[in-house]
Amino acid sequence: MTRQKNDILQGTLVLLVLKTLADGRRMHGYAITAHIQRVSADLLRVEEGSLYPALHRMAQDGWLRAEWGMTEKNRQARFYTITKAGKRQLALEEESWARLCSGVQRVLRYV
Amino acid sequence: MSWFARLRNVFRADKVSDEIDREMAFHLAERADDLVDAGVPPDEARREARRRFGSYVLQKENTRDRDILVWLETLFVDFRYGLRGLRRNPVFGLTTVLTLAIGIGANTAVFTLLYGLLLRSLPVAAPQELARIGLVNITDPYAGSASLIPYRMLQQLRQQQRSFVDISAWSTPGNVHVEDQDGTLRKHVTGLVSGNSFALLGLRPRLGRLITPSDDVPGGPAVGWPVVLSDSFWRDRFGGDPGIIGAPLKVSGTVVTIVGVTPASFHGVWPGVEPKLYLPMQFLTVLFADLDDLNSPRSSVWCAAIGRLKPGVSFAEANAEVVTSQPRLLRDFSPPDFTRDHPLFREAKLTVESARTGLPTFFGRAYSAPLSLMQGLVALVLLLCCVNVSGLMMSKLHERQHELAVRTAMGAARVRLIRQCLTESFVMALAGAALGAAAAWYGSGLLLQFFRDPMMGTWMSVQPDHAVFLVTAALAVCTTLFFGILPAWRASRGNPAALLKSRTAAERQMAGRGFVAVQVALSLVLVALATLLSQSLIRLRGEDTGFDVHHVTIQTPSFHLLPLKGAAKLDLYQRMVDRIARSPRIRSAAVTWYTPLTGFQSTGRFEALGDEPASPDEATLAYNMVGPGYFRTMATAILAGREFEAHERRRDVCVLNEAAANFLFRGQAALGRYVRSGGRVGLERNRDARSFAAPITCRVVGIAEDAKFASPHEPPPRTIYFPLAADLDDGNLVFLMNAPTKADAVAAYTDALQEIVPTIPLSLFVTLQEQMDASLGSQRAITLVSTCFAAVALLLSAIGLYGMLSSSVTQRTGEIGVRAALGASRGTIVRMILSDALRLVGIGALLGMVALFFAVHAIEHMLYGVSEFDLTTLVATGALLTVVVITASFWPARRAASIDPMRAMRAD
Repeated sequence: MTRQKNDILQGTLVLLVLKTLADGRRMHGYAITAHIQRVSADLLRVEEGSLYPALHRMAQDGWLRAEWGMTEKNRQARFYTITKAGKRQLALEEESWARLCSGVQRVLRYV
Repeated sequence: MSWFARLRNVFRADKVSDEIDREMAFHLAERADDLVDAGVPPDEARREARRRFGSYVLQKENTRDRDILVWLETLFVDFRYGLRGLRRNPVFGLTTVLTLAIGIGANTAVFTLLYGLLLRSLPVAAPQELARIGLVNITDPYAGSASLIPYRMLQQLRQQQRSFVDISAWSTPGNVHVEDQDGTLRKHVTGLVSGNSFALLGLRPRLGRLITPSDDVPGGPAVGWPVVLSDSFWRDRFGGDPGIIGAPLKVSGTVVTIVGVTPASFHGVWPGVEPKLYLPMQFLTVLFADLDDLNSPRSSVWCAAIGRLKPGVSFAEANAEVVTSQPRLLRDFSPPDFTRDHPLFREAKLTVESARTGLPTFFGRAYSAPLSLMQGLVALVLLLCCVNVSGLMMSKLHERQHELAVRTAMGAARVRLIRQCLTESFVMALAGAALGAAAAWYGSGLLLQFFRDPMMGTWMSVQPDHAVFLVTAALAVCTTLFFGILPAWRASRGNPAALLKSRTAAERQMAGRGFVAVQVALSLVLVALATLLSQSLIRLRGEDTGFDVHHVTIQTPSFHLLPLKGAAKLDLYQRMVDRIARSPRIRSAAVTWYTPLTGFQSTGRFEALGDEPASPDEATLAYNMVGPGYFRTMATAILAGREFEAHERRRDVCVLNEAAANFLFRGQAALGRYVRSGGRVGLERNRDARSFAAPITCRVVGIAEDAKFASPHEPPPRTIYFPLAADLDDGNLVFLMNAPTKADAVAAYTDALQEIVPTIPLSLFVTLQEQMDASLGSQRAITLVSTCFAAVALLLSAIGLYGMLSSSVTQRTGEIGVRAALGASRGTIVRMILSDALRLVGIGALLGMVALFFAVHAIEHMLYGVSEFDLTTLVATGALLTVVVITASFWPARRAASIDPMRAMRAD
């Protein structure tokens, strides 16, 4: 499987999805993709094929709540909202991300 | 984490797949719409949307994962992957497999004994219907508590009962002697059975026929007595020759005819004791020429009774019936007066109990507790092995984190990863179980050496069978779950983004550290228990027993075979003693009624008699009857007076040990004073009950040094010794020979026997040391097992600690590099690693102390001369652990200290 340079690694995908939904918004998969792309100014591009299995897993892990609903274009779509567990997970993911970043920066300073 | 949801998905694969399909369809439609809005033609927009989505098929496969067929398919792949992993990393594989083999093997070996002794059903038809009927409250040193019933009473019960299909009689296992291939007479354990016994069990012969009712008639059948051989005896003695049926065999001097062989799976009805020959019950009158009363109303013969319940009759119903018929049975068929009047007998109660596993034996009674304890110990070892392997797996997976992270990133399902890890664990557990089962096969044989009946000189015999393999297999599965689940769970949980970016940032191995602490705790418990037990054993073996354990050899001759009684028999014993003592290599020889350290001693009540009023306290004394030269032979010092002389054969003289003399005469000189028996004596071990029915008054002629009697665990009891009197009946006396080596004693005895009574077979020669070891058998076994496994535990903990520190140093390479670059000295870094290790060990040691506090109660009763919270033991254990910890930490610490800061930091 070839991978474009700015594809998002799946672990980070979780962080980004949770962050996207963090303020309690109710979004379907396509909107999440679009949101991430937009806020990162097209720097990050969600690999669409892995988004849905990831959403599914996150729902199974209890981080997201999923339900079927109608879009304004009258299409059936699955809408996701973040749960309490999801918020806790988001905090963890953010912390580990921050640790990673600071670790990388610290090491970079010494090289 | 919702496991349940996942499990549910297995059964609703279609629905999940369908949901994702619908979601994807929506996504494609939205994307296509956007593209159309941007001016792309609809057809091309759909294609482009597809292209952007990536491999649609791949996504479908991800969901199809939950299908059962695929599940099995991947299981096989995982299995092969696991095998390949073992080959790829043989050191890890070998360590894991060996560790598991130790744990599983030890458990299987001990369980083999426990199962064979206590749990296995007799290999006969419908064993759950079998019942044993016996008089409870009659204590018998040989055969368990509730197993025996007077033979005549059994006959009567058999006639009048309605609960059983039939009731059969089994003698307690005894010995007969049969010539070996090379012509020497050898003793063999034998069972005497009533004619209906084998038919009642539903046994089919391996060869020929079994004992039938027509064989079991007074005087024997017209064609002569039949004998049935056990399968093992038939193989050992006759090489499995099928033509042996009909051949004559001389059994204890009587020629009998071999009529059949029992099936190979049948090892008798006494777990642990395997008779080699079976003869009809009535053969008892041949073996004991003076025993003509087997069929008389006054018969004193007791036996075990095995009945088969009628269909639909419960044990409770059978019990109720037997209890109602008890009063008449007791009145009509109780044995001679001396037992009938005894309170024990009057309190006796007929009971019916299950005989599914056979009849109770010495082994079952004596060894079930130690074996259970041992099972507990090895279970602890298995737990430790699992923890250790778990730790190894964890650090192994840690190295594979990148592989796993890549796979997660590519969308591998978490369940899939967990399953793969578990399959790998299972491959190793299976290999470990196979190796462990092989080890257990020999290990249980080795352990059996320690389980010996100190009276009969026989070893316990237990055969491993298919049940043991079931247990091994079950252990393999359990251990897999036990040691595999945590690493697998963690492996599936890694954060791939973090991991793929950098090695240094990985979170610290909290679980791995926890494992090390648990390992240290378990080792501490095992090491402390082993130390306590070893100390006890050393003390027990090293303590002054009051006699010479190293040079005294024991032989119990089968003089009951001779038609001699009373004084004539005593004369024969004395002739043998004189002849043996004449041999130049023999220091001294004697005969005695009981030898010490067999676990048994007779007791009775005695009081001092003298010028002043008799002492108010009646004292319970242990008593023994000994021939002239006993004290010299045993090297028990005579402190005052003398020992018995050859002409003294009446109980009008006695020797007291110091403790008895001081107690009876309150520290005043006892020599020349008189002792009187207070009532009946010796009924506790009714071997000699008859001769003590009348009160005795005897003069103290000697004071002997205190010596142990029944058990090395107990301090020397107050003991009174009597001369051997002519009224001692059937029981055989025991020869004691003090010689520089056992071989000298054997040679002297064999010569004497050849010259005086060549028709008597040789019995087992045992030294007092061996007898003591036999009576300490289970204790020695437990000490050995716990010591071995304490060593294993220490080794495992060291490996675990080493592994944990090594991978922690690897993980912290960057950090250590930074520290080094900032000017940390080698010493500082070594101290850092060591203190890390010591902190873990400290936590583990604390946990271990708490566990020890509870564990020590299990071995309390086996401790001798050491307190259960012995300070020396704790200090020694702590010191040992510290040494092991420092050794295990040394190499990782050294490696950490020699990290080159530049290279360490560039690695990222």
